[in-house]
Amino acid sequence: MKQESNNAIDLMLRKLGRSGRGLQQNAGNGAAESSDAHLDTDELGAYAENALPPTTRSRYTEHLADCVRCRQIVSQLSQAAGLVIDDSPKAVPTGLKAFLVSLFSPIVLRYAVPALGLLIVAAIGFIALRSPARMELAQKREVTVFDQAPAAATPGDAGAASTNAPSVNFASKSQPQSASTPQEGAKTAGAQVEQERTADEVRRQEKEQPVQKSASSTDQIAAAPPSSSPTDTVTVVTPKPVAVEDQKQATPEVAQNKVQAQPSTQAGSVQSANANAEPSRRRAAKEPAADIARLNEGSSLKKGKTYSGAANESAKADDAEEKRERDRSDKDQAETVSVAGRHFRKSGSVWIDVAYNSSQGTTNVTRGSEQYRALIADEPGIRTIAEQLKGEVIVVWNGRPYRIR
Amino acid sequence: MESSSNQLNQVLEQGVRKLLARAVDARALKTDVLLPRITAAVEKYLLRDDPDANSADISTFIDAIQADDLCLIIACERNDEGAWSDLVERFTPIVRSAARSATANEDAAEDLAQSIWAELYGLRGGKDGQRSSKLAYYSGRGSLAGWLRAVVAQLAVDTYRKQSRFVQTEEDADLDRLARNMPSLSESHAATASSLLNPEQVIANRLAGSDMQEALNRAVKELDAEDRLLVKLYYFDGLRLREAGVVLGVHEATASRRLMRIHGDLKKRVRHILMEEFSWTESETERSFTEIGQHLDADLEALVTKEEVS
Repeated sequence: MKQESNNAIDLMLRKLGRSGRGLQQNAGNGAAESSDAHLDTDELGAYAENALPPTTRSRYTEHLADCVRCRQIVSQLSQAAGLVIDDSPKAVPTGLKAFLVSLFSPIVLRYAVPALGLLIVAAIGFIALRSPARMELAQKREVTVFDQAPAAATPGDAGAASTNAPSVNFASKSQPQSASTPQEGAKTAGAQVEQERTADEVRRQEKEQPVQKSASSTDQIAAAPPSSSPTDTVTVVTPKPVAVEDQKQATPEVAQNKVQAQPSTQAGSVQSANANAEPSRRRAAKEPAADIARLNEGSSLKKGKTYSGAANESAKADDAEEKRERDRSDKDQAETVSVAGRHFRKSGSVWIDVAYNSSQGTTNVTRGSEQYRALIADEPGIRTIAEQLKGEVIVVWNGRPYRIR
Repeated sequence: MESSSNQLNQVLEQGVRKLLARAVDARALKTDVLLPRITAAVEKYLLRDDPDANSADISTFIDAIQADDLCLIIACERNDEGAWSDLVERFTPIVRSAARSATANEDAAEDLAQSIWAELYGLRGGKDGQRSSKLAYYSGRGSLAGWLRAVVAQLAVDTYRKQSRFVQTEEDADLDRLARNMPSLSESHAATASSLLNPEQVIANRLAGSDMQEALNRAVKELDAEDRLLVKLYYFDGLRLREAGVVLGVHEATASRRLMRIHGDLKKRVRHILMEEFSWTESETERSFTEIGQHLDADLEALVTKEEVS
């Protein structure tokens, strides 16, 4: 209903317009319109270029609404001037408001939002890729610390050797033997005390000599007997075939020592092993970063390649990223040029005047068009810029932004 | 009063000094040469509509003046040969282009362009026989290129109107002769012609002289200047919305929204006039609007069908 009514108004206005044109022509040709009543050329030109103060413009608008001749000229001039108008009139903001307006302007958001999305996706991807590596390192470190205790202890110390977790395996393997040696069972209580002391000592040594420990960690892994924990066994990575051979060679000796230090009962042995392993695990879990740092430090040593490899890759990735950032910033600096006293920066394929505010509308001008020729005839400086900068150029000239394509 | 006048002069002088300072080529002009022109422009475009404008407004106004263009024109007025050659060299393409746009053929365009240069040089002479140039009208408020286009357009329109008046007079005389010689022809075909009118014409005839037409005329006249200008540009001058928007200094979308609003305003006003002054009932008013709308749809359908058939 409303649409029909508006259609009706539209139709009637068209009719009125058609009949009005005849009246206008007659009025325009008549002697009633004296030239004094018309706007002069300066007023017409200024109105067409929207270069008048608002109150003055309103006065001339009043005249144009009723004067066919002036309206006709202003229409021609406006089309020739080719002004591109902003969608809505807006007050000119200042200071922080202006900054915020320019920051959240549609033109900026058009590029910023997808860029932000890409950044977030990249960041998530980076973190997701790094997390497994870190977890792997932490697990490896955990195994290292877990296996480090026997190596850190004096090899000849039977009490310390008896408390090692791997000894559980060996103890279980040699259980019949240990059960058949009752004189060794008497040492169990003393061995437990020694076990705690040894663990504390290991911690202290780790704190005091992290580099040495890291350096020796791979040796220990290589020389260590298989872990009692299936998980640990799986996660132990043998870095070199040589190490495996070392391990094989070392195993009977260690086993022999452990058989000597084995508690009389299997349960007691397991308990003591767990008691020793738990603090190491907790520490490993609490200090993954420190462990990784230690691993990195130890990476310069020959046998630390397994652990330092992942850390090195991470460091290399960081370096590469920094390098890319530097290259990008260098490129940005390189893609800022000065032409005819104006500075332009390249954004995509567009050269943008640094004085251009993205919230401003632009006057679109195509190279080679009549409008372009008129513009460069008016402003030779723009010609210089347009010729020197190929592709699309946004230049602010006399306070007006032009987009030259 | 005197102190305010002195203050105004000081602001003007300061503005002119700034203007000369920012001009790339001031063409050796002094402050006192530019001052009268700037003063006239400030009075014409600013103080006339806003007598209470303060110093900041005046300074802003002067800062927006095209310094180089104004200096060039004033130097030309002062018969600076260099300025004249610069003017001709720089603006001949613009004058030619504007002349081509305003005329039907190349010869007419060339004639018009030559006339423009003669006008600018003051060869036409003033009323008192002294050399009078149009350059004196340029205030620097708009660009010189825009002003020159305005000069060309104005001269073209005036020339066209003079010619069309002459041609129309001849055509009217011819039509009068035809009417006198064949009076029976129009009478014999009058009935046939009326039956051949298309629905749009029927509606138009029905509307012509009707209350509705008169109400709409009045409603349009009562619109504010900006809205009336948009209606005139779009319906009377046949401009597209984008072109009308450019004249008004608004985007095409804004012009479209504004036109929709004007339709609503006009409808309300027409309904009010019909009901209050012509004693129409509400149902009559609504029925009339609906009828016209339906006829419009019918016309469009007929038009589309005709186009498809042809």
